[in-house]
Amino acid sequence: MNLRIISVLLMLASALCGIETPDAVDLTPLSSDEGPARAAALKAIGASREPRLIPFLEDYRQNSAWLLDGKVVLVLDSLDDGQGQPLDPLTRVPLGALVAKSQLAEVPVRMKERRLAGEAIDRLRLADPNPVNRLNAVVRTGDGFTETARVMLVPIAAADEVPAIRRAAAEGVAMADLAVPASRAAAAGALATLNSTRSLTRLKDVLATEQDDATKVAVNLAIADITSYQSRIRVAQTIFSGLSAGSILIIMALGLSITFGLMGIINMAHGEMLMVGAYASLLVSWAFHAWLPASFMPWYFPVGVIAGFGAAGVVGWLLELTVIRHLYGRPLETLLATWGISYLLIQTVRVSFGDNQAVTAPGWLVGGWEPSPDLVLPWNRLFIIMLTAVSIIGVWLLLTKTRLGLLLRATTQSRRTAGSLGVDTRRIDGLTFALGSGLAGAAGVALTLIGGLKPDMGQEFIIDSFLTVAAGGVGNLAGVVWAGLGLGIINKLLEPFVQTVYAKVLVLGLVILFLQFRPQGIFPPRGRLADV
Amino acid sequence: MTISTILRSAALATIATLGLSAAETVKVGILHSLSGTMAISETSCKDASVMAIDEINAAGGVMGSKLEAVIVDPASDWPLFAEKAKELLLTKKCAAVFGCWTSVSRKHVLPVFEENNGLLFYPVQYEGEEQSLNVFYTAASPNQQLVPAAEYMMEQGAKKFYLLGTDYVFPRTANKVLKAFLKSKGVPDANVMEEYTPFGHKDYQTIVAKLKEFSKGGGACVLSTINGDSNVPFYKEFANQGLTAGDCPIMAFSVAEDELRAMEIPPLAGHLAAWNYFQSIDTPENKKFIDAFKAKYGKDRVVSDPIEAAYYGVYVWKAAVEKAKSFDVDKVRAAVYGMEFDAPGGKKKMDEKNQHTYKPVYIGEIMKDGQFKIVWKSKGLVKPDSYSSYLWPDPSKIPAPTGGPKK
Repeated sequence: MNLRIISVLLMLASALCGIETPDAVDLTPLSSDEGPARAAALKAIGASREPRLIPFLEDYRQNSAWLLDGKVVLVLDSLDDGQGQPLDPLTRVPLGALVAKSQLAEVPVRMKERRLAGEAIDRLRLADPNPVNRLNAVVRTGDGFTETARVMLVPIAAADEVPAIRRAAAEGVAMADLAVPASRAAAAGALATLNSTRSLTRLKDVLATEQDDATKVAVNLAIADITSYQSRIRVAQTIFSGLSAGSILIIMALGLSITFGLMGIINMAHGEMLMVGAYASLLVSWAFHAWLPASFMPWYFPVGVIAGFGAAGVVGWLLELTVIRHLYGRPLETLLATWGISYLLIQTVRVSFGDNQAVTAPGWLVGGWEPSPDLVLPWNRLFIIMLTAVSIIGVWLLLTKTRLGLLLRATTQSRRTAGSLGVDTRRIDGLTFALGSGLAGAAGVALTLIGGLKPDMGQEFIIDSFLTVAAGGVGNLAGVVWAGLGLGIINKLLEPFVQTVYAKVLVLGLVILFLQFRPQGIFPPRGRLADV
Repeated sequence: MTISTILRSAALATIATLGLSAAETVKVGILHSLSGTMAISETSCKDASVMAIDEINAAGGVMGSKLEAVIVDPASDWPLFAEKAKELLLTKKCAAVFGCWTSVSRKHVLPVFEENNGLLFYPVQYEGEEQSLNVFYTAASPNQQLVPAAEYMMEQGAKKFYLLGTDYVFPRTANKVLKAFLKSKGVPDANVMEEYTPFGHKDYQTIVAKLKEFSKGGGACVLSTINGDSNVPFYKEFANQGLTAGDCPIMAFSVAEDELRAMEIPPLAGHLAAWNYFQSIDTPENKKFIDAFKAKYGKDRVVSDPIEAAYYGVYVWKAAVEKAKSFDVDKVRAAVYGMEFDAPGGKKKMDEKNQHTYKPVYIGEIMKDGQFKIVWKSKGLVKPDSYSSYLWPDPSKIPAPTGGPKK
């Protein structure tokens, strides 16, 4: 008895200090023939705060727990072959020699034990050092609305080191308080302050059974507050989706607007420049994996973007040198030739790499930024928006502030005049094409964050790229930006109301309609370029 | 013996030998996409069928004749499937064809097989609502995959169901069956949502945002019939927006070990799939099959339900040919009915009448290594329904089988 008092005091003391010392739990009752004894053992495991019991319970649910010589052990091997290695349930250290199935006694696991084991796992996860597991456990426990859940969550709401977990625990406590009529109004207010969209269903259920008018008002107010917060979040998320979709369109079309817009060349292999860039970054990741220590791995991605830009730029420059140059001024032949080259590139990559390659996004781009509860802005999309902005600014600076940009614009406006003023127009052509292709390559690397990596990934982007350039006005950088943003945002605004497929149909319809009234695009080209 | 007699006998013997060798190879067709959006899934089915054919040839062939695999690439292009099927049946004169994955590809080739009384062994789970005498469906019909999976989710406490699929006949019909099933179990209409995306779709932001709202308050799950490489961006977006398998588990019907090879596993771990076979089935026969597959194609390769079906489909055909003692389609068909056979995942049986296969049902949880941990298994083999009993409560109204011997 004294021992129990001391252990309870120790528990309280450690809880007060915030130190979680796990309790020692006797696992033997799990093998008992009596259901209540097994249930009690599982409850005790749940309360023990011993995180190593979580994997034990998971294996227990898979029938890997056995009784050997009066002690519970784990045997993970399949005993159909004859023998297995008994392991300590907590440390998984091998316990002596191999045993045969005949030496082991069954530890009964029925549906009730599975359920109780699941609850015990949740309780143990509340003390899990891993914040992701802990947050999940807090949310699941809070969704139970029970008094026991409340008791477990109060210390977490007060003292957990992660703000998101404290908030989720506070939500859980408030939701449990809704069950008590006296504290209902206050709980509703707390949930409204927390902007707890999680609790909306619960608030509505409670409202249906509430009799007191004052409390009804409080609950209604909370529901209204949270619903309006939810709408604001929805709007913000839609705007972000539109921005993200728009930035993807822009970054794909930027390179094309340079080759098509500025040079008048219809490059059907533009999508493949994207693909070349993506595969270049795959090679970079392999190189990092093979030659550099693992700590350098997160850096492969920025290097990959530069490598993608470079590789696609080189391929583009070669393409211009060997094929495009000879077909200058003949758009139909250029179209056909570049179409053929695109197939060549696709099949070369297919033969070299195969059809499916897994790409792992770098760790720092996984997950999202949560500026406000429920509003998650994924890092990979933020990265793409940033890359698009950098590309736009970079191209603008190049075109307006550098000598190369000046020569490029001169050659585009009037090739003969520029040539007669001493500009090496052939070299400029090559560099321009390389620039456009390089931008596509960088875009391709970024796009592997969203989708996978396949040889024909460029084909899916080519139509949208031409659409953006045509809608924006050929030859105009601002046109691509506005067209891309516009198409992306309109598409995302429509999607919640009509289904995905029809949203795309409507956007395409709108573009067709737009081009009827303004066939030159948002910013029509002026001067001699209009003749191209 | 005069010279002329010797020469004549020699000539006859040569002609006889030539005639014999011409009959010694029997052509079988393999009709799977090796490029395009379905390549991620179908290439391995081709590999499995080819492995079976090579094994059969090494053991002496079928009734003394070696098999020759005629492999064509319909490139995920559905009309091209029909053209290639014609080529296999009419030009190459294949005795049987092993192929197709998507239901739209199968629907395109069906008229070709029915008009020419060919035989197709179809190794992929599908939506049912079809029974052609020219097809043997060696994989799951809805009551062997979709319905048990939905039942499992309900037992696990799911109350809200988001039916998400690629926009073509399999997901559309599958969701009809699922909706009828859920309604029959009393799930209110407001708790069932349905949405479709085109093949190759990449931007799942809006859908994941809808899922986040849908799953608030717990009890939600996704029943996913997304096919092909759209799965990659979907699971990525799901994880990146902060959703986990604990908030809203995704039960996938078209994601197996093979698709997982080309995906980033971490966002998928903890999600579920329903099949009639998993690589992690722990039996000596399965281990032997897996080792042989890896030895032939590389130790990084994995096996999955369609791969198992593509493999044993060839053996079922061989056994039927041997039972019927003929390659003739009508005789082989009659011999297939009711046949029991050993598959790597265990004993199975062909249905006595409806062209389908008795199969066990497994639910698996995706592990970090791309394998599945089996969390539920049906008691024994499940009898297949070609027409779902949830959509056809009156069995007398079920349509008659199509195709068959030429009249």
